[in-house]
Amino acid sequence: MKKFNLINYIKNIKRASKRRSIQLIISLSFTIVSILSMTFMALAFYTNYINTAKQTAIDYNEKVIDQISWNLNSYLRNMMGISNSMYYNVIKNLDLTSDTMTKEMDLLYEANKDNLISIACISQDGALISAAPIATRKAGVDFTKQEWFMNTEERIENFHFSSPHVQNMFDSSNYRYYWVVSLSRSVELNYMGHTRRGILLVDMNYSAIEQMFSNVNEQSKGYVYLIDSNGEIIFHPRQKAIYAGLAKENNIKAASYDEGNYVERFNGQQRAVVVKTVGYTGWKIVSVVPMEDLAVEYNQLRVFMLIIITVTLFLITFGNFFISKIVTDPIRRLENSLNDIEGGRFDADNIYIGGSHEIRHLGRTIKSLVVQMRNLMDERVAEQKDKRKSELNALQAQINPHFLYNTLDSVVWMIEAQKYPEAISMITSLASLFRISLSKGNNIITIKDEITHAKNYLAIQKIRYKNKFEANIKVDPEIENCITIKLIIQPLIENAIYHAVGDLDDEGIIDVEAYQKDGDIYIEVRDNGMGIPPEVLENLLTEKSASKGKGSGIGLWNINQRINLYFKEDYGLSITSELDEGTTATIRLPKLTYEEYMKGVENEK
Amino acid sequence: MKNKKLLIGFFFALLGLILVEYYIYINYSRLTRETTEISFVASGDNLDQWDNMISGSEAAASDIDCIINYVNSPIDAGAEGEIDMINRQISEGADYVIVNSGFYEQVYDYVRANHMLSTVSFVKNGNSKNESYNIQADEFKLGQDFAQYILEENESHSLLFLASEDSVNTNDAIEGLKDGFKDSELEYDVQICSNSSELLKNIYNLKYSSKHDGVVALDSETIDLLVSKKNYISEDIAIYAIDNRQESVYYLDSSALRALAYEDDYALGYITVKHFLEGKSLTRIARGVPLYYIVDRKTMYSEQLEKVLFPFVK
Repeated sequence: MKKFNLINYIKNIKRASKRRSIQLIISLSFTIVSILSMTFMALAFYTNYINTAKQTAIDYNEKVIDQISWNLNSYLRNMMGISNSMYYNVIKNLDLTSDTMTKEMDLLYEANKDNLISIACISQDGALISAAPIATRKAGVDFTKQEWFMNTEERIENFHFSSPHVQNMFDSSNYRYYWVVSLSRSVELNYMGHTRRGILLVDMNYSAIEQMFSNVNEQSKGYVYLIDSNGEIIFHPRQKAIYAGLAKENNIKAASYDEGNYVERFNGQQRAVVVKTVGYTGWKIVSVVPMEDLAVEYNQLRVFMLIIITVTLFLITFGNFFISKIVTDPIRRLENSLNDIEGGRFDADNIYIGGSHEIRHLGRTIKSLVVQMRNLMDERVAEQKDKRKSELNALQAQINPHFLYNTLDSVVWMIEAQKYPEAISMITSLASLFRISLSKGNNIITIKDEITHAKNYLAIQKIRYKNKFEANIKVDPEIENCITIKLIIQPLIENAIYHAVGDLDDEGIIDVEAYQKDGDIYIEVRDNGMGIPPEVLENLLTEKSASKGKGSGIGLWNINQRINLYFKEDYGLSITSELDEGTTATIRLPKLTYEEYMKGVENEK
Repeated sequence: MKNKKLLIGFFFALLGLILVEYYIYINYSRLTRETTEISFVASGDNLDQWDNMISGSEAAASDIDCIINYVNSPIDAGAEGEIDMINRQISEGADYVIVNSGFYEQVYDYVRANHMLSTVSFVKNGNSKNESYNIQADEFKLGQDFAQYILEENESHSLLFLASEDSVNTNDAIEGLKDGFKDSELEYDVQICSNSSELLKNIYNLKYSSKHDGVVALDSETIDLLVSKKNYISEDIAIYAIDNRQESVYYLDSSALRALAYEDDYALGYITVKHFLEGKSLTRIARGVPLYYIVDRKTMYSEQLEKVLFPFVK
C-alpha cells in the first residue's frame, strides 16, 4: 500500500496550483464562494443576534435605572416634604422669641429617622436655634463655613443638595460618624413680627442612598453610580478606590451626557452607558455595562457557531474536492492517455473512455484518430520495410561478374580439353545455382533449397580451385523443410573461400552445419583459415564497413539486415574468429515452416 | 476503490473534528469565567478590625471573578494556629492566601521553608523591605514623614516613643522616626514595654519626670491607655499616634490626639487582591498610591481624608 507522504502531497498541490488543474480551479473557486457566503451569513446572523441581545441588556439596564431613579426621586421628594412640613407647618407659625420648635422637630425626626440623621435650624449668623435629635454642637465648628450654608446663602430661593460628607457638627457619644447628604433651604424666622433669615438643614442618611444603589448593583450587569451636575461622585460601588487613586471612573465625561444611551471607550474598555437625570438635584444616575461582560454570555453561542461553521466548512471543502474529483477524474485519465500517445505509445486500447457523455465522446474520437494514425504509420513502416527488403535482396541477388566469367572460362577450358562430363557437371551446377537464385521471385525458400544452392556453389568453386579445399555439409533432416531467406549461406562460403581457405598452402576445410537448438535454427559456416583480426571483426557487421582484405564487407551486413527485416531483431548473423585457427559465421533463424511464416505475415498485416 | 478510501478518510476526519469541537464546546463555552479563590487569614479573635481591609479587597475582587474567604486565627493559637489555618485554606482549594499575621517572623520562616511564597503573601504586618511577599505601608518612611510633621508643627521638643510590644512594624516605624529627627534638636527616648503594668508605669512617669512634652504612641494599646489617662498626666503633653482604628480617629476628632499617622487598610486590601490577580504588580501599584496619611484635626474633614478616615463610603 502506498504510504501517505505529506511533502509529496504538498508538492503535488503546488504543482497542481501552478498547472491550474480543472479540479483545483473547481474545488478552490467553489470553496471560496461557499466560505465567503457562509461567513457573510454567519456574521450577519451573529451580529444581528448579538446586537439584539446587547440592546435587550441595555433596555433592561434602562428599566433598572428608571426604577432606581423613581426610588431616588421618591426619597428626595420625601426629604423635601419633611423640609416643607417643618418650614410651612412649624417655623412659619412660630414666634421664636417665645416659642421653640424642638418638640415638633423631634416628632418629625422620630417619624423619619430611618432616612434622616438630623434636622437643624440655624440662624443667619450661624447660631443653632434647634436640632433633632438633641445634640451639642462640636467645639470649633462654624456653621457659616459649611458648604451647605454658603450655597444656601448664595441662592436663597432654592433647595440645595450637598455632596456626601461626614456630619461633623454635633458631638457624638460613641465612635460613630455618619455620612450624610445635606438638604438645606433658606427660611424666614419670626421674632415678634420681625422676619430674619435662617437656614433649615435636613441631613439625609447617605446609607439610604447607598443601600438603594447597592441593591441594584448586586442584581444588574455592570454597575450603577450617581454623580452631581459637576461630575462629582455621590455614590459609586468603588468610590473609595477611586478617591484613593486605585480605580478610575469616567464621571466628568458622564456629567456632560444628556439622558440616553451611549457607547464610550474608557481605560481601554468599551462600555455601554445609560444616563438618567434626577429631578430637583441635577444629579445623574449612570449605568455602566462593559461590552465584554455582555459578550461573556454569548460565549456559548460563539463557540457553537464556530463549531457549526468549521464542520460546515469541512463538509463544503471535502464535498467540493470530492465532486470536482469525480468530475475531473475522467479528464485527467484521458489526459494521461494523451500523454502516452505523446510519448509514442499508440495503443488505442489503453485510451480511457469513461465519465460524462462529453468526455466519453472525446475519448472515442481520440481513440478513432489514434487507430487511423496507427494504421497509417504501420502502412508507412511496412512500405519502408518492403522497400528496404527489395533493396537488400537486389543487392544480394547480384551475381559477381568475375564468378560468372571465371566459371564460364573454366567450362570453355574443360570443353577444349575434351573433359565433357566435368564441363556438363559444372554447367549443371551453374544452372541449378541460377534456378535457386531466382526461386520464382521468392525470397523465402526452404533450408533444403538454400543448402542445395550452397552445394552447387561449392561444386563450381571446388573445380575452379582444383580441390584446394575440402567442403563438408551437414544438415539436420528435421529442419530441411523449414524456411530461410535465400542466398545467405552462399555469401558466407564465398567469404570463406576468398578470405580464408582459397590462399592456404595446406588443404582448407569448410564445414557447413545446420541444426536446431532451443527452438531456433542455427546454420554455421566454419573455415580453418587465418582468422580475422579483432579490430576488423568488430566492424564487420556495421553498415557499409570496409574490411581491409578483399571485398567491401557489405555482404555480411546485408545478410544480417535481411534476417532482421524478415524476422525479429533477436535473429541474425554473428561471427567469431581466432587468428590462425579459423572463423565461424553463425546464422540464427526462427524455426518456421513456410505456412507458419505466411500466417505470421498475414497477421502482421 | 480510491474514492471509497477517500470517503472513509473523510468520515474519520469528520469524526475527529467533531470530537475536538465537542471538547472545545464543553471546556470553553461556559457562561461563567474561571474564578480565583483567595483566603484572607487574619490574626485576632474576630475580623471587625479588618473591615476596611476587607472592604478594599472585596472592591478589588468585584472587578474580576474572584471569591475571598475571610477567616481569623485566635491570638491564643499563636503562630501554629496561623500556620494550620494557612495549610487548611490551601488544602481546601484556595489559590492564594493573604496573611495578616500576629506572628510574622515565625509564620514567614515557615512559609519560606516550605516554598509557599508563590501562594502566600503577608499584608500589613511584616518587613516592609521584603516587598515581594509583604504588602504593607513602608513603616520606616511613615516614621520619617511623621517626624517631619512633628518638627514642622514645632510644638514638642522632647518625645517619648512608647509601644506596648516589640514587633517588626513598630521597630521599622521607630527607626523611621529616629532618622527623621536625627538632624534636629528634638530629643527622644524609646520605651518598648513587655507588659501592661510597665506601660502604665511609663505613662505615669510622664507626669512626674516632666522630661517629655510629647509621646508618640506606636500601637493601639498604648494609644487607648494614654488617652484614658490624658487628664491625669497633663493636657499639655501632645499625643501623636500611629494607628488606623476608628477609635483613634475619634480621639483625634475629640482633640485627645494631636496628630495621627493613619494607614489606609482599604487601599492595602485592594492592592493585595490586585497583586495576586494581576500578576504580582504590587510594587508598581503601590508606588502611585499613598498607603498612609498624616492627619490632624484641621485636615481630617478635608475632601480626600474624610473618605479615608471614615470608612462608610465604599
